Amino acid sequence: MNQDYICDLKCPQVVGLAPPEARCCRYCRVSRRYFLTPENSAYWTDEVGFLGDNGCRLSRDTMPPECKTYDCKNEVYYFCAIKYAPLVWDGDKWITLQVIQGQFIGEIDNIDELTETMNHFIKKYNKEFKSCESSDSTS
Amino acid sequence: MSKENICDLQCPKLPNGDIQLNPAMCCKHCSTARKYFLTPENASLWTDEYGFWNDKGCKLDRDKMPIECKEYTCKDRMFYWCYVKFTPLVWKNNQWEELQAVECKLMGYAGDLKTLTTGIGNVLQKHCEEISVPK
Repeated sequence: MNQDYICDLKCPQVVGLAPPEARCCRYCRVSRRYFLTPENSAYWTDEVGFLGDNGCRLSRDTMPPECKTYDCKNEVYYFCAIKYAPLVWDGDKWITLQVIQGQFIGEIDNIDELTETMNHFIKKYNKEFKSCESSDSTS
Repeated sequence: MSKENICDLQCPKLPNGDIQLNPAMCCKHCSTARKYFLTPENASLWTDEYGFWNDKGCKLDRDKMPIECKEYTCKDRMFYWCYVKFTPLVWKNNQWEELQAVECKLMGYAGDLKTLTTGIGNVLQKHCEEISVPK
């Protein structure tokens, strides 16, 4: 039988980075939608599932079993910091335009998710940057 | 008619100057993409790695270069630089501890995000294998 763990909310975190959204309580979150019933729907939100500020909002005896047996301390996490900037020729030299920085934390098993997140992060910036550029050029 | 540019090899560099973009990227029309221009007459100037390019630019005489090589200037394009620091975290001694981090610096054409994210993904994957991150 699997050991029963009680989440102590010691989520992996890095100094300077806001605590993750109870990442380690992943089994309390929206992926547990199958566990949603009329009786426990008061504890559910579509954004974070059963997760509250202090962990799962369900009482222990009504939690999904995988929530009770999951221990994030068996996982390896990553912290990733990224700095990205466009570089253009100003007529005389290459200059760096606005630099953006991002910080990401996640499970190492989902490293593909990280590259996907970075992709979205940079795409969003490029889009915003271009819209700033075009509004500048029209002003 | 398009203006002719002569590459001055001032390829984009990282801000601290410690990495310069692979110049073959800037002189892309001299590089391997010009394979169609390879003939028995100019074959001695060609390598499969760099095409007609060497560290002083295109090895073809100017009057023998492909027209798109003569017209191309990388200075019309936007590039990017990107720094990434990746640190694995494990639970040890009653706290989350950092394992050996890896840093990478990349440059490329802005807009070519696939090459960037694939490059980052490969570096991170390789690092995890090298330091034997437990799965």
